[in-house]
Amino acid sequence: MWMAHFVKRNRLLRPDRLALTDPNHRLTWREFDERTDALATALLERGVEKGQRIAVSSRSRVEVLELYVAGGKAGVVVCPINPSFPAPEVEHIVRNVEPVGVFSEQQVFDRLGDAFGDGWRVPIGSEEYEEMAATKARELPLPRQDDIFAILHTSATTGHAKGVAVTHRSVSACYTAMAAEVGFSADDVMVNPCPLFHGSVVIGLALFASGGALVLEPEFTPQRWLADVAEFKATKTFLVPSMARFVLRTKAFANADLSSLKDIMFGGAPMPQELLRECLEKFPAPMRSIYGITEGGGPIATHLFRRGEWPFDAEGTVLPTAGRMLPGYHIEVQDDSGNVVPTGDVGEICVRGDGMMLLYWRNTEATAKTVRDGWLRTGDVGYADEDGFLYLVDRCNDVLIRGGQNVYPAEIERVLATQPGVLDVAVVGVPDDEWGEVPVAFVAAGDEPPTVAALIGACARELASYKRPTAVHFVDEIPRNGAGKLLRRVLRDRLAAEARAAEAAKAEAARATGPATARDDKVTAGTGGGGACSGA
Amino acid sequence: MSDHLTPGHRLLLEFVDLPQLIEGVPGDADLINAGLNSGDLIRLALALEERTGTPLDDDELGALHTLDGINQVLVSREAAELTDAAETTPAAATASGEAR
Repeated sequence: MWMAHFVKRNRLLRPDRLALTDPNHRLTWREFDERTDALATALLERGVEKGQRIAVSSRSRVEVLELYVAGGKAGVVVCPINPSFPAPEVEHIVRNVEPVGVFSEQQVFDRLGDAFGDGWRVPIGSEEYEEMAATKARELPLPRQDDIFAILHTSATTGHAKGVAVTHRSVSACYTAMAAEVGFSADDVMVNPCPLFHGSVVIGLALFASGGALVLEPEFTPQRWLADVAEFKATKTFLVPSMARFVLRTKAFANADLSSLKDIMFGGAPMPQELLRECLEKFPAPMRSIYGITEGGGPIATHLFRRGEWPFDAEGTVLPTAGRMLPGYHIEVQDDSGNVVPTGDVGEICVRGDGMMLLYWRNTEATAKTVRDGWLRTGDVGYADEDGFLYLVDRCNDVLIRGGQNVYPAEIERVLATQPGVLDVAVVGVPDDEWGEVPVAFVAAGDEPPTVAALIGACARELASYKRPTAVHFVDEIPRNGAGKLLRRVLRDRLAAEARAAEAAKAEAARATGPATARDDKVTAGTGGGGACSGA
Repeated sequence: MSDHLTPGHRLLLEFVDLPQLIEGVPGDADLINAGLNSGDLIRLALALEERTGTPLDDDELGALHTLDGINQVLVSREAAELTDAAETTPAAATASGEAR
């Protein structure tokens, strides 16, 4: 119901106000409602039935949100696919959701060939698409709140992405929470540089539902973000920490007009405290952490960081809180058996509420591991203080987060393990100044070891670019315990020790200028992996 | 890397995590489609800005998606630097008798 309802309501309340824009389009609420009514009708006239899936694979542009809403109005399930995915990743998603049709940009169709399967294909922005958007609309039955609205694919422990089935109720819960806590309103304008296939799409949808205007960017560049904030007098935005770092580094920042910004949301990955401090110093608006998880319906906790206010201690160190629970998202810290741990004790962060996913698409086993007794187990390990502030300390699965995108080492290991000459392989996440974390591969090879180029080439063919290892280390043996379980910690510790040694050597060489003492604490506003500690 | 590489190619090599990815990539090929991470291109853009001290405009940013485009940006920026240098030093040059 929700996706149809909020568009209709905003069309009635503010028909001629800007709803949505990208570099090539500007739509009012009236136009957006009319075009999505037409597209919904056109989908059904093509023979798409309620509950069937359509895939949408595109950079962010107006038509992508049109298709989200048109699908929602028609009761058709929308499955976004990262347009930069290589064919094997697309083929896996297509096998999983079996879309009856695909909307994509022509160059993506050209590149991916038959990876999209046997369904019909409509190039976004083509005459065919525009004809669909001009179809004579008919009255359609309102979908139910518990109907699946979208299936968002996330990286998984199994080595293949899992489909998170999100309902209309889930998206409306995100709106309710963000409107109440963050104050999303019809007066807001949000510049959204994040891709619409990313879990953070629900934040944009929440602001959109409030009647505010959404400014879409086809791809993030810090220069474009600065220009859009100024041009549209944006009041809100959402950045992953890497994006914030790039914005601060670009030359255009010095003369940018950011005075309209009221709230800069950040999340998707942990925020280094030095970067947060720099953001608070240089941006003219407070920074709001968004701690969330796709399986939980997006944001589940938040905190507004203001310059000079708690949670900084006397030395100016940021207390790395992920914030407090959003309204409608009840959070508990539980042990493996599902019991609440005492305040201050470490356990797994669990959440329940209307925002939770319905299930993992066609993956009963993974659903049962992740949703237990009505609680969604995030896979994040942490604790809560007496005031309900959450602090994340670890993960109970192996997920690493590169620039706001979750990556499970198993996905990379699956690809590397099949290459000739590879005997054993392990991938770990290592800290990185720009991306938060990056994957690094360890390979034990036989008598005819593969070249690094061959290994990287295999990853380039089969994995999205952000999942490719940034380095490959050849080792005699991959450390495993007696049961054969991979000991990633040993490899991480080995890399950390090497990094410390290199740092020490550097410090020694630069002794005359004094050693660096920057701390590396992080504000944990990331997205969890969604696994279960005891099951993953 | 060999000497036949263009300046754009050499510059890009400084910013990609995996140099193997751009070996043999044609000058007009889309670098993202060739397998580069969009972050590599952002880092390249910031480095170009740092080198010249001025922000890149939209056209220049768009051009960074191919090796040919990177070369064009480098050439035009170097030309602009030469022009700026010539415009900012005429008095000194004239005084020393070098400008004609």
